[in-house]
Amino acid sequence: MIKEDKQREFATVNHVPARLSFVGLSKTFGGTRALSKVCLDVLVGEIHGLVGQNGSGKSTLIKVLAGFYEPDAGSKLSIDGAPVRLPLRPGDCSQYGISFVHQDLALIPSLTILENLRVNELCLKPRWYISWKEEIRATKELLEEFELDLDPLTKIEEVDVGSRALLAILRAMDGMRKGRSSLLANPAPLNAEKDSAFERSRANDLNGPDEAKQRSGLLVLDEPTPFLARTDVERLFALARRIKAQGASVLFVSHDLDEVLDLTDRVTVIRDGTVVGTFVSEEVTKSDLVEQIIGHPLSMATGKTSEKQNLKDGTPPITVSDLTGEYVHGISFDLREGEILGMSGLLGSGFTDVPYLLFGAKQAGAGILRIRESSYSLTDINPSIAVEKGIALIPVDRRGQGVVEELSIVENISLPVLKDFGPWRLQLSNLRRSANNLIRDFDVRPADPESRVGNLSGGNQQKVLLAKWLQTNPKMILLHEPTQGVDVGARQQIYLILKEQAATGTMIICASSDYEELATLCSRVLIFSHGRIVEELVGTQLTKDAIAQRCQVG
Amino acid sequence: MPMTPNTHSFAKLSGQVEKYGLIGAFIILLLVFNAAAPGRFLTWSNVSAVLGSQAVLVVLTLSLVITLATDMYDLSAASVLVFCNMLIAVLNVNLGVPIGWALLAALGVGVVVGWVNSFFIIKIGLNSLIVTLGIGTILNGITLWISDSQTISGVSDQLVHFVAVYRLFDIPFEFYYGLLTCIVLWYVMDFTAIGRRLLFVGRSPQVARLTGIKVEKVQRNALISAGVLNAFAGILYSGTTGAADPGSGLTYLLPGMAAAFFGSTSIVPGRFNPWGSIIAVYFLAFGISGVTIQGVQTYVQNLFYGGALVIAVTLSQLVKRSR
Repeated sequence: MIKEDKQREFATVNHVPARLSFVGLSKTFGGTRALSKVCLDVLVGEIHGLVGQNGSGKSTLIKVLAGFYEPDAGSKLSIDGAPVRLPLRPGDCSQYGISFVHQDLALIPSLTILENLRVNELCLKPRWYISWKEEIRATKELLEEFELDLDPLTKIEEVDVGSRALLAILRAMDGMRKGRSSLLANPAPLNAEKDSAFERSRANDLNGPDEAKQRSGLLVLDEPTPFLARTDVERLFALARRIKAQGASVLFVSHDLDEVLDLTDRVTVIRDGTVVGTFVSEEVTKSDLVEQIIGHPLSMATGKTSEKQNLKDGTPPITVSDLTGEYVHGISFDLREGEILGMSGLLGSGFTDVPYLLFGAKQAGAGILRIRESSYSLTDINPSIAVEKGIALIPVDRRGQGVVEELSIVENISLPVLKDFGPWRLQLSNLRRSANNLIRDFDVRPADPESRVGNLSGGNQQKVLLAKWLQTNPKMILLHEPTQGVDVGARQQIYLILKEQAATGTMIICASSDYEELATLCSRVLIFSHGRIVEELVGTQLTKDAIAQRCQVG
Repeated sequence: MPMTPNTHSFAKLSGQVEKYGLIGAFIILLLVFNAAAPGRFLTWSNVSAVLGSQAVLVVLTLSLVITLATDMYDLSAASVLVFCNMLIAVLNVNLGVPIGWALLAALGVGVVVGWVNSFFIIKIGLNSLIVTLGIGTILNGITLWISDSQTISGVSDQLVHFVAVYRLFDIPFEFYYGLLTCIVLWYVMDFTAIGRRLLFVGRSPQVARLTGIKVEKVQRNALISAGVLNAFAGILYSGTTGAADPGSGLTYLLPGMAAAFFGSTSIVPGRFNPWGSIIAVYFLAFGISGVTIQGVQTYVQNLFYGGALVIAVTLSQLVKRSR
């Protein structure tokens, strides 16, 4: 049974105000409510987890805190018991002792550890002389304090990935202390109300400036782990616990529930923009959390074997074996004629890499692709070979990798079929006519072949891309998030187009984190976790919720 | 969103103005200078002199159009021109090699330099600006070396005749060479699959690659073709001057860039295109000729080309932004 934590009691018993306290936080985008009356307390010296599905409102909350979004009126935030005026502006949080580490870490690879860690001191302060000796000493001190055995003059690109994450945290930690100590040394009244509350909190909580420096601050870790190896995750956790031991608080945002339960003291679950509950981590199980995240109990029925039997007749025309890349480790699967195979998983689970590895857009470490009787080594494949073999890729980065926005529809659409229109003397009017037909068939609007692709909506751009490839009648289509940024109407059209194409025998792989899409489109869905396929969902198991559950469970 | 007829025709009109604005400005420029110097500026002898004398720049500009369209800068263009010019002179005058072989050698140099540039830019992945600056400077050094820093005159009469002496409609042959190059490049860029691939590689190598285009091959071929055109410009230069000197041809690089960027604001606005470029070359050349006839010093050339480059790049940015 889950016991909801009585956080307020907990806080008042200790007579210490929460480090961070959101009350009634709401955020509306246009007509949709991303956050609705969210209450969240992160206590002093606590590691607090924040979990929820994609689109649940987690990242909106973080962005409000970071000062990127302005919350709705009526939202309240207090830090160490003192009310803070909303909205925060970007950069404000540092003076309240809040520091962020985002997934991309924001380190500059070509610069040294020293330059990265001390970027604020080096770049933002008006200094006419930089004592490098002093800088090296300060950097060493920081590294030694957290037992990182690194030379301050090493470039970030020469440091292993795990240590990079630790360095990013160290920098945030350092910034957090500095922001805090400058505030303590010179408590500028932000508003009258705050001043008294601040004094109170100081009297209750802190015994002197040195200790104040140690005990203050909130470190927000925004999904730092998906791309880290297990051992590096352990190192990161050890660091987070050290930071906690010094009296700072940590807000840990993650998809990986095992990690959350391992690291945090309490965990808050967000679903559809509201807080479902805050739980003491030791008292909940993973399945409890999944249930809270999804909103209903886990179904344990799998029925995998019986369904799988049905599909096993005949040799599949496409098999992929032992595919290995940076984030996938030796996966194998097959594709049947006319099948739409879905792939999903959490961020960092590796499923998003599969289309690019099969197409040769990313370099595979190993793997064999067999199309009917011929097989190819996936380490040798490149996009132009893939296209020759009848493989098409529709990438998620539509504007960067899919279309050229400043060129016209006809130019974009005709690129793969120029050889059929007299490559040495292009039949421009035929090209136009063919493009016009495609525009009509795929219902692209505006239906003007000369119109710039950049002027089209996301859905219409995607239709242009589908038209561009489907006219070549490919054997296999690789999709990555095919309806991201596509409106509902166009989405249905795209599903229909894909299903019709599959019915003609084309095999389709759809890597997506939109569970509803997978349920609608696919006949089979492979669930990835840590670079491996952990489950295969077919038939009646193919529901939005079931896919969501499997992804969460990993 | 449906446009009202009014905004539609306005958009169409502004599109036309954009496309043919340079031609309009050109005509105005001719009329103004003609009015300022009646009977001296728009004479057939002045016109044909300008048309002929700019052929070298036309070919060099077209070479830059190729590399710029592929999203690369070729700062070695004028150095190849000068080197080929000197090579022809050394082979033909000093060593007595028949002019035909000398010309072939020059074109071969164009291929080799294009290939070397492509090796460093594509295989090694260096910035084109830096590579071509370096290679160009090396070529300048070799030019000084093989010429002993001397001007060599007396290049084959045959070449001089076929470039600058023979005339059609009283315009030197070289003008038609430039025009022909422009037509060929226009055809390739607009009416062949090669042109389309070049366009996509220049606009988005990512999209081109994921469509199955061999991006590196397209870039390499672009650099080699540009090298050949640079060599061809060198041949025309040799024919025009009948001599070779190790320095003066280098000044063609900046006017070439200016014309290529200027050209990208008209005819096919937003794209480096041959017709726009050739018109830009002559627009600038007639402008300079016009002010020179007014008795202004030759430093005006620098003002003109430098100003044109900055204005052209500004315009091409504005054109891009407005779309």
